[in-house]
Amino acid sequence: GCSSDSNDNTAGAEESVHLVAATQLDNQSPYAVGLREFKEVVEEESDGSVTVEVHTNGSLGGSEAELAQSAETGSVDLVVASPGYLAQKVKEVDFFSILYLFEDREHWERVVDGEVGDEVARVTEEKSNFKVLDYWSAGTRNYYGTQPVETPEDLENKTVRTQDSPVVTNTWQALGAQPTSVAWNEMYQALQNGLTDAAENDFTNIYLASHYEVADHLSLTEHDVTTRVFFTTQDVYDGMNAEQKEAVDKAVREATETARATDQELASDYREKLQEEGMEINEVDKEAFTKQTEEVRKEAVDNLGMEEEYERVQELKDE
Amino acid sequence: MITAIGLILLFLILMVLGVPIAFVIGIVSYVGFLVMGTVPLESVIQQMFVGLNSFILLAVPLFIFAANIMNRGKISERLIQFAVSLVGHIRGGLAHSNVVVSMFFGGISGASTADTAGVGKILIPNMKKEKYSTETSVAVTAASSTMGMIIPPSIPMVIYGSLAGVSIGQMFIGGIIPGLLIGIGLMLFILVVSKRNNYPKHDRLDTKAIVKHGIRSFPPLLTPIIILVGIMGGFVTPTEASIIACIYSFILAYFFYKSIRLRDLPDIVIETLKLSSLTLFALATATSLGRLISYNNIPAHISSFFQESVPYAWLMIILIILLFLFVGMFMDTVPSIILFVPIILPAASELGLDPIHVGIVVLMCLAVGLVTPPYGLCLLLASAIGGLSISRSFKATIPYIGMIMIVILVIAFVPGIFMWLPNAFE
Amino acid sequence: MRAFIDQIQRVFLWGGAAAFSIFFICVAMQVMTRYIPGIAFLWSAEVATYSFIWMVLLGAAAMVRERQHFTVSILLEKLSGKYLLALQIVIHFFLILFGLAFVIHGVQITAQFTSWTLNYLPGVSQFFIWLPVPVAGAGIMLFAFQNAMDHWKHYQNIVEVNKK
Ligand code: NA
Ligand code: NA
Repeated sequence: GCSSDSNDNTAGAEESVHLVAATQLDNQSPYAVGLREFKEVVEEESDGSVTVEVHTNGSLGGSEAELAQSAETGSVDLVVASPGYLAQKVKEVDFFSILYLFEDREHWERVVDGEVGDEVARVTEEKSNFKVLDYWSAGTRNYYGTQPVETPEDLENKTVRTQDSPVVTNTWQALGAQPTSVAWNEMYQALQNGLTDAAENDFTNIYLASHYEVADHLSLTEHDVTTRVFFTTQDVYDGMNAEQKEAVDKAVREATETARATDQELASDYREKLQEEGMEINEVDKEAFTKQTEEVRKEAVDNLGMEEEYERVQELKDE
Repeated sequence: MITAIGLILLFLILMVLGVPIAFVIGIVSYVGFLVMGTVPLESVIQQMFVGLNSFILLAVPLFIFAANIMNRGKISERLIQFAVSLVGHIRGGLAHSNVVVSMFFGGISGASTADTAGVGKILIPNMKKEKYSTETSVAVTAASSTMGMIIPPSIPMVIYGSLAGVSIGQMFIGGIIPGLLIGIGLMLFILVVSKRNNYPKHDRLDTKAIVKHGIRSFPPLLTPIIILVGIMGGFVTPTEASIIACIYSFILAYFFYKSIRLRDLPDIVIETLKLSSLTLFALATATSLGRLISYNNIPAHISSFFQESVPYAWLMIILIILLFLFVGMFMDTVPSIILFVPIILPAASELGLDPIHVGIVVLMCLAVGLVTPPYGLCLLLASAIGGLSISRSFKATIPYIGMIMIVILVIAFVPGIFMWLPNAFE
Repeated sequence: MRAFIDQIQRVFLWGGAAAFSIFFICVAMQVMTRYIPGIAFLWSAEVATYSFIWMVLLGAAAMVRERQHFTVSILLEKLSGKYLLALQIVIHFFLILFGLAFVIHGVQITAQFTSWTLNYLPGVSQFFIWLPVPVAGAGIMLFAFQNAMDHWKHYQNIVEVNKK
C-alpha cells in the first residue's frame, strides 16, 4: 500500500506518502487507539504529506499471522503483531515470546526500551525488509480455569489452552501441564464442558470472551508480560524524505505512549470487572514457576543465540 | 464509483459468458486491485491463500467424506426404506419419504448438495415410476435437501460460527428446530398437492416391519447424536467432530453393513477432493474479493448505514433476509457468509439481536439460494438428475420455496420458538 | 499431447488425495492425543492446514480439465457451431490468463516466503506451503489449454461430418 509510485529516493522525496494500517482488533482496542494516534500526529507533523488510513476489526486480515504476511507482500504498511509471527522470518524476535522473561511491566519497559529492544530491532532490519518502529504490549497474561493454582504442582496433568509456539508449550510442559490447541472461539465451551481445564490470557481478552462465566479462578501467574511489535517495512520507511521520517518518528513515540497507556488502563478496568463478575483472583508462588522453567528459557536462548541479551535482561531485574 | 460499476459489469459479463464463477471472482478482484494500484498484485494471491489457511475449514472435506462413505456404502438406501416405512402410507408417500429422508440425511451430511445428489439419484427415478410428475419429483428433492445445511452438522454453520465468534456447537443445536420446521412445512404442502393430484400411497407396514427398518437404519441415524454429544459434551472440537463422523461412517459401512471394500476408499477420497475443492477454491477467490471491498471501506459504509439508518430490530431482520436471499441467488453459501456476515453483524448486535438467531436466519435464506437460479446448486443438481430444464424445475419449486419462506419469517420474528434449545446449553 | 496432459491431471488428483490422507491422519492424531496424556503433536494442526491447502489447489486445478467448476451456462446452452467454439475459446482464454497470474505471482510469493519458516516446525521453510500456488497455476493453464484444443477438434470433426 505505499502509494508513492517509486521507491527511488530522489524521486520519492517530493511525493506524499499514504500508509495503510491494519489490526485484527476492534475500534476501542489499544492497537486501534495507538494507530489512530499515529495517524493524527503524523498527518499533523508532516502537514499532510504523510497520510494514514486505519482498518480495524480484521477487515484487512483477521489474524496477526496474516497481517505480518501482508506487510511482507506490501498490501499493508503498519502492523502490530506478536513476536512469534515475525520470528517466522527473523528467529531472534522470538526472544520476546519466552515466558517468565520479565518480572513485571516496569522490567519489561526497561528491556524493550533499552539495548535489548534496540538489538532485536537491528537484527530484524538486517535479516528482513521489516523495520521495527516500537514495542507495544497486549497486557500481562495469567492462568485461569476451574481450579486455582498456587504452585507448579497444582498444574500436574492439567490441560491448558496455550498459544501456538514451541517456546510457550515447552514452558507449560516443564511446569507439568499439558498444552492443547483449541480455537479461541471454541474456548468458552471447551472450558464449560471440561475439554480443557484451563487457559491463559490477559484480563481484557478473558473478559471480552465471557470466560469468567465458565472459569471461576484466575491465578496471577504473570508468565507473559507480552511484547507486540509495531512495525512497517524498510521500503516504506526508506522511501520517505527526512521531514517525513521525522514526522513518523515523532508519531511513533506518541502512538506508543498512547497504546501502552490504553493497554494498562483497559487491563486494570477489566481486572476489576472480572472480580465484579465473581472471578476469584489469587497470588501464586511466582518464584517456583520461574525456577522450574529456567531450563526451557536457557534452551530457547541458546537456540536463538541470544545469551548476551538474556544476561542483559537479568541485569535489568529489580534488585 | 465508476470503478465499482465497471467491476460489477465485468463480473456479470464474465459470468454470463460462462467463465466458472470461482475464476470470475478471482479475475474481478485481480482487476480491482490492478485499478486501485496501491496494492502489489502478488498480495491478491496471498489473500486467496489466507482464505484457505484456517484449521476450521478442514471440516468441509471431512464432512463431505463422511457423506460420501455413507452414499457409497448404500446407507442412503436404508434410510430411504425406513422413511418409506414411516410415511409411505400417507397419500403422496414417496414425496413425504423424500422429505423425511432429507431430515435423516441432514443429520449425517454437512452440506445440502450431498443430499440432493445422494437421495435424488434414487428417489427421482422412483417417484417418476410411481407417476409423480417430473416437476414434483425434482421440486420436492431440491427443496427438501435445503435442510441438509440447517440440520446439524452443517458446514456453513462451522464457517458462520468461526466468523461471528459464536459457539459452533450452539449453532448446531440452534439449527435442529428450524430444520424440522422446514420439513414439516414441506410435508404439509405435499399433503395438499398429493390430494389434488391423487398421488399414490404405499401400503401401511405393520409395526414389526417398521421396527425392523428402524433398527437397520438406527446406526447411521446416531451420527448427528454422536457429533452433538461429542461437541457439547466436551470430547472434541467441531473440526474434530467431522473426523469422528468419517470414522463412524466407515465403521458402519465396512464392518457393520459390509457395503464398501477397502479398495473403494481411493475413489471415495478422489470424489471428496473433487467436490470440496470446487467450493473451497471459490472460497479462496472470494476472500480476495472481500479484501478488495474492505480496502475501499465498503463494509464500513454499509455497516454504518445499517447502524445509523436502521433503528429497529425488526427492520434489520427484514433487511438481512432480503440481503441474503438476494446474495444467495448469485453466490455459493460459504463465500456469501464470508463476504456479508461481517458487514451486518455489528449493526445487528447493536440492536440487541442474538448472533445465533441472526446466523440461523442468514443460513436459512442462503439455503433458499440453493434452489433459486441462476446459481442454485441443489436446483441445478436435481434438475440434471430429473432431466428437466432449469426454468421448469424452478417454477415447480416456487411453492415449496414459499413454504420455506413462511418458516423463515416464523424463525425471524418468533425466535422464542427455537432459541430456547441453544440457550439451554449456554 | 492429450494423453500426456490427462496423465498430469491424474497426478494432480493423486497428489490431492495424498494431501487429503495426510491431513486426515493429522486431525485423527490430534483427537487421539487429547486422550493420551503425555503425548502432544502440537504441529499436527499446522501440517493439517497446509496439506489441506495443497489438496484444494491441486483439486481445483484438476477440476478445470473436467470442466466441473460451477458455471452459469445460459449462453453456453444457447449457442452452437462456430459461435459456441468461439465462446469456449474466450472462456478458456480467461482461465489461462488467471492461471498465468497464479504462476507469475505464485513464483514471486513462493520465492519471497522461502526464507520464512513454519510456526511450529521452525526448521521447515514456507517454500512448501506456497508452492501449490504456482503448481496449481501451471495446471490451470495446461488443462484450460487442452480443453480449448478439444473444443477446436470437436468443432472440426462436426464440420467434416457435415461435409460428408
Ligand atoms: Na446437516
Ligand atoms: Na429430499
